[in-house]
Amino acid sequence: MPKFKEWAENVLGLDVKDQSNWSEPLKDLQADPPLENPEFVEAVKGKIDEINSNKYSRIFHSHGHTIQ
Amino acid sequence: MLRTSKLERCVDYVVYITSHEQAEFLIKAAKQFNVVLIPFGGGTNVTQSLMLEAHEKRTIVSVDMTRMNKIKWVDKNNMMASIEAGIIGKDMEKELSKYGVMCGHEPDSVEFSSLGGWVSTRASGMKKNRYGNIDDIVISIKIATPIGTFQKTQNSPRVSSGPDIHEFILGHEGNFGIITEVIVKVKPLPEKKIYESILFHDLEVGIKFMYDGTYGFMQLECRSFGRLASV
Repeated sequence: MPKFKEWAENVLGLDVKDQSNWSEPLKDLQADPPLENPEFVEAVKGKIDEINSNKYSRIFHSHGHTIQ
Repeated sequence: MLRTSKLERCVDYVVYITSHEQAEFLIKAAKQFNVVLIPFGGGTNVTQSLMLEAHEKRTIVSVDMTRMNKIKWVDKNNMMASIEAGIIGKDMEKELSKYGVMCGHEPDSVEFSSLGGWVSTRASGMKKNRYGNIDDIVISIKIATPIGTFQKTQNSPRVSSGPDIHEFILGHEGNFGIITEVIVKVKPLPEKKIYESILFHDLEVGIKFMYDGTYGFMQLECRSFGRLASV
């Protein structure tokens, strides 16, 4: 998109030289540790197909495809 | 999240269920141990249905429905099918086609979104003029809630007596329970699929064309020329 930069500068007012808003490249995704509830886990274990607190599985299930 | 690589709040556990009885059990346990359950189908909604309350102090559990993905039966006499709610749209059409039938609900997200998700978010699709929105397609919904399981006992395309309990389920976004099964209307597979486009010079002309097609002089022509009827 050769005209995208020009459009972003003129229409959106983007200043490409302003480094204050630059973000670092994404490293590993982070998540706070789970709020544990051992009584609940104990009660449902074996009664449902699976329960896990895997970090990536938790992150994946914490938002929709639009990151909402 | 794109900038910080971290969500304000994450679910604490992810569970997978494979039956309605497991959903009922899970809800009972959640009540007993003060746990928040959030059903998760394809994760494609654009209405913040999966957004978590950042300061929620209770344990949050995501209930992944995608292992409930079987077609339970297809009734070709009455043209309906009972299907588990976690099935993804594309898979559902593929499985239904083995019986020579189709559903026809086709939101943009059909490759990723689930049947239960469509019901929970009162979804619409690109072919709704022909096949209807999800509320037109659904015949019966089975939902496990904290006060018991709801399901219509009479599976017929339309019932004149009494209020429709589906109205509290369609669009509930997981707030009232977990949808586990849905009976949907099905149609025979089309003999042919023909794709066509009409390009307009500008938006105004395009809108006028659609308006005339819906309300104006073109109605008659559209009916005469079957190919244009789905425009």
